[in-house]
Amino acid sequence: MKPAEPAAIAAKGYSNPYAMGMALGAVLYLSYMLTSHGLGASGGLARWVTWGLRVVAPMQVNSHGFFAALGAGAKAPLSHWLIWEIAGVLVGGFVSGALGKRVRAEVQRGWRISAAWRLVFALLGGLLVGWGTQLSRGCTSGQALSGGAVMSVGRWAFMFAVFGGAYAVAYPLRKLWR
Amino acid sequence: MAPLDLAHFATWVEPTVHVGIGFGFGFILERAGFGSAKKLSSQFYLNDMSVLKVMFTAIITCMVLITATTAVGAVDFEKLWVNPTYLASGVAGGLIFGVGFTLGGYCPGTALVALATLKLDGLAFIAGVLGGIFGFGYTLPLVDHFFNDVTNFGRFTLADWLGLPMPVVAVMAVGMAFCFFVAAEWVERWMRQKTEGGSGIAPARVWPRFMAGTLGMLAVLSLIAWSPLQGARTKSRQAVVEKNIAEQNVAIDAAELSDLMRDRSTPFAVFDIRNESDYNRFHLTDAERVAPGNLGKVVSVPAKTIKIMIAPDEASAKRVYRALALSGVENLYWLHDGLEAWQRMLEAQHVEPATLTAALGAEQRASRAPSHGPMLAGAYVKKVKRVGGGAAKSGGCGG
Repeated sequence: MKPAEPAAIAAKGYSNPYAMGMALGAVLYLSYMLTSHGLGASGGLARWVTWGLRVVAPMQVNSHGFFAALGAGAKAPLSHWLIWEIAGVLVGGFVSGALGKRVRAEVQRGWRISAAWRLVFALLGGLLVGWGTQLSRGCTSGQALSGGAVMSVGRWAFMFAVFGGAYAVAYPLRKLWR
Repeated sequence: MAPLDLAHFATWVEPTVHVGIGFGFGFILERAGFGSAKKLSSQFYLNDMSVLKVMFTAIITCMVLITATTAVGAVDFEKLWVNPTYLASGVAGGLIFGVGFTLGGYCPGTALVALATLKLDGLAFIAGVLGGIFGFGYTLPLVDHFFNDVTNFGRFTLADWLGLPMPVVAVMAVGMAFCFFVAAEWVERWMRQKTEGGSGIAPARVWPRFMAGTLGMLAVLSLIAWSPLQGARTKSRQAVVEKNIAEQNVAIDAAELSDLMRDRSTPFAVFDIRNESDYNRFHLTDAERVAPGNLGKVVSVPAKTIKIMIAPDEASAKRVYRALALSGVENLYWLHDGLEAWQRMLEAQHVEPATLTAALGAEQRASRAPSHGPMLAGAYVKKVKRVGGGAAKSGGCGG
């Protein structure tokens, strides 16, 4: 029995990965030239978390070094370029999805798994990824992509570690996707 | 010369530029299919290697563009933010990240794009990421030792590590990426044959050759421009260093050091390069002894930290300054006339000068900045200026 998934992917009108890679490289280069830094995602999310915590329990922000560094006292956690960039990512993703008629409320999942379980695993994966990004000081965009392009040794190590971690559990977790 | 400093423009420019860059980033991720967890996870089940292709293409494209524009002098690479290398925590975080990637199907950037196209699993994933970050804030004390461990190499590029010029590293990266692409195409074809009917992705074998050829050629061309560029850079650096020495721009007054030690709002480090017995007799509380043969210690201090050297005499101060400044150490100063000037300053402030007869080290009043009375600002020519250290204050992720 085979999943009915491959045709669905092909039919979605995605562009050639190499062409998209070159375009992404050009955007990344533009980012370095205009702003002296690369792209990012998880750092902006960390700022949203700090902002939320500050609204609910400001003392917690001040008393925990991690949050304090992002939003203690006079520091505004959302006053940062990553917040603008994330807003742009959401809009850009939406526009491309709308052009390709891919904006549709749905749950992306393997054919064996129910939508509810898929959401649970997405949440669990997100928890690990969120924690991991902070330990490694960044995610695939900020580290692997941006740091990789400017030849950072640690970010190349990070990138191979991500692929290593992902491949290591792919087989045991195959029922999630295959 | 790039990169630009957006702080020089109207206030709306910086947010607008970032929204624009984010737009391009999000658009391309979605268009490449990365708003779909099924497509992303296919990378790890080998039947669609788009993640690897997009990622490595983007990296080598940007890397070669940066290298080429640096080689012709249009870009100052030192001003670009290079994510610092924390090897152990970076690799450990990456492994955990990878497990989460397979489990959840996204990474933070792609999950945002999934969210933008109403994928509910993307929403759940983002909720998880926010929770994970939240949890990290509370569990950091448990891993703090590991988080800030000894494998912090700061700004450390492959070119530094391998001791090769950037264009050579770029050629190597292009070559490696090309091998990955060929392997990816081969694996995809193999998987298609295995599950006949296949994934329906058109073979795109001409692209890797075209790209690797173009980018590789550009990297080789930038190697030709590289040596003259480096030569010119060294020359202009030498001129600045000699000017600083001749005009005493970096020889600071004892009172200025005293203010730095009392104020503490500027990160600074004091290095004592006198011989061990002099150091043991008397040194400043903040001073760390560095043997002249072990100046690597100074090189590894963060670029933006003010470094103040205490030397036995002016001639050795100048000699060590020259060597360190030419090797790229920034924010370096020396105490003008060394500890003799310090003693004179103490006397002027009616503080008992240091005793030099016993090995008291920093166990005496004179080792600290005089604490009473006003700060001394104004009583000397202020020379310490914090400069450089890579322009960007913070990088992408991580905060």
